[in-house]
Amino acid sequence: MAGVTFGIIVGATPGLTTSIGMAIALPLTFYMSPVAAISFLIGINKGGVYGGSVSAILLRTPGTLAAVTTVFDGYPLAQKGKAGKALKMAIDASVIGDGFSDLVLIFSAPLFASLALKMGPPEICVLMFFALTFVAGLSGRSLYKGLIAAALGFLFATVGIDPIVGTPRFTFGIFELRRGISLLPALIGLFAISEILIQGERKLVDLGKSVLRFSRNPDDNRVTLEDMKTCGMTILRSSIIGTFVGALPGLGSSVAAALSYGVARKMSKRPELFGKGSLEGVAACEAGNNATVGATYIPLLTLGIPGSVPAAVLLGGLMIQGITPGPLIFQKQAHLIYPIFGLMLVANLINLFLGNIGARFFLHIAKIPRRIIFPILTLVCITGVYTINNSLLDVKLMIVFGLLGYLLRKLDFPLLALLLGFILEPHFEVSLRQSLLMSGGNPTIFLVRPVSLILLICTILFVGLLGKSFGRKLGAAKGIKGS
Amino acid sequence: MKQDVKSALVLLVGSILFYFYVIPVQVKGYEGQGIALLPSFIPGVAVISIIALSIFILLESIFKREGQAAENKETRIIRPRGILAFAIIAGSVYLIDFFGYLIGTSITLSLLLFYFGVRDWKTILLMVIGVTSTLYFLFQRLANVMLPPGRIF
Repeated sequence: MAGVTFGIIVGATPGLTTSIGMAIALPLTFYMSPVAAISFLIGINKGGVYGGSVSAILLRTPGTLAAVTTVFDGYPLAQKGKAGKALKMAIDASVIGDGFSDLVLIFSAPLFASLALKMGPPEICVLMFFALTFVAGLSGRSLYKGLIAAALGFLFATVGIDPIVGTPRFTFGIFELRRGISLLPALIGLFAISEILIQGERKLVDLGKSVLRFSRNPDDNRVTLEDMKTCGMTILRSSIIGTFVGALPGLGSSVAAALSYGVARKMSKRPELFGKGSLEGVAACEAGNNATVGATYIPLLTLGIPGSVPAAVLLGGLMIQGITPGPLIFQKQAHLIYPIFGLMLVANLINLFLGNIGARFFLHIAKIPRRIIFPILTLVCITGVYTINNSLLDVKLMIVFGLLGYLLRKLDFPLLALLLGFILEPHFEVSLRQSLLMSGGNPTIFLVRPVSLILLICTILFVGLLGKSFGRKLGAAKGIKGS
Repeated sequence: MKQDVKSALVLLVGSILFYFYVIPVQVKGYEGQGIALLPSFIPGVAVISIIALSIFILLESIFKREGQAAENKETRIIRPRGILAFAIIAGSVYLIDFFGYLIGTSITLSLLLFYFGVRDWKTILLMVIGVTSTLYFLFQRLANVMLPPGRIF
């Protein structure tokens, strides 16, 4: 309970990630029993991933990287007076996604780990290319603007040291830029700072009002059975995607959330609502990102490979407690591992309980007038971003991205496409270049490997469907013009 | 001139300059490798894409009917108040760097509260003391993060 509570608070604070929360708590685990210590750290991770959605929904500021895409439908829902519904769907979808991946971890960890190991650079490259095709679907009114935004995201992601050759790119002589542009300053700048700048344009009389509308209709503050029926398949699909992505080392919850969102939009009966307050959008993001939590421990526990930063912190916790992750863990230390699995499932229930109580409390924060909340939010963002690398350069980058986000919003360029490009580029580039290195420059490597070929065929089919869909929209628009 | 035409022109000119002047200087690669293995491959592809897409947007905007362009015109105007808010936030970095975290953020928060419409000096004082000290305690004391001490101290 303590872990989940602390995790939710950390996750909801922009700038404090679950990894930081787990790292802060790590020294405390010296004094705990092995089962309690590991459960505490995992509880922080679970609470933190959900907690990021709270500030994403209420303040348009994702508290963690995992809540990146929750902003797009969570905040518009909150602006329509349905903040309670969005928060409750976020916690419900989070718990279901988390529970799903925990069950996969418990019952099929070794099998999953061996499958994950078969995914080499060519498969990862094609998977990232598949994810990039979602840009077209997320481009809103103009496909060209969406593609430009994604290309800009690609460009920003190349700043730093080249991952294969090791030479600096676009550092302009600034030594600190060699580590590249961190995702969190870019994220907070694009969404939170740009929102603050847009709010700053308002007339003073409007700034006295609260950020969000609040509805007295009880159905706007809870998840109804009808909502669950609508979002059920989305949650299940996103849980599967999140579990799959979480088991792959290095990809992370933001990739899972983006993929889940893109697929949900494509499969939805009401795709036009996405980006304008679709409950399915919130459900997809939260189920997808939380489903990475249990899955990310699969390569850690079965192979000793931490696939994410939280998993790396947990590895530290395991080593402190004398637990050695690897293939023999289920034979030699089963008396420790299985109770931990049990407590992981209990942590989901605690997350559900605290999330529902917390939702009522968090709504009160959003009632604070704009003129108070936005200056405080600015300060929290500045402080939080500074703590990532103890660097004012990150704060400067955040502010630059804030201005960029403000201008792009004014010019109707979709921020999500830029973000998708930024998140996916490192994985895409590294896996593409590694694949070509493996094959000596021969691009047919993507065709000769079975998993890669299957993913490529799916991508081509998907692009074909998208092209057909755009052709229909174009035809409909011309028809309206003609009449 | 339509806003889309302006933005397309800016992107087009900027990308061309970037491709010919920035990439060759800022990105070094090794000779003798296939094109896909050069560090400049992905940046080059991204910039060329932006050039091509900017041309498409330019042509689309020039031939688009006026009615379509007038959509959401009000929200697309870049207002001076937004830029002024940016200037205050940008200035905060230099205030924090020079004066240190506590003084820098106190000045920033006071300016932002005033800018956003808080006129009661007691509210401003209370907010500044409360928020700054809470954040200082949370990050510096609890999370053990060294916040900027400033150049004058």
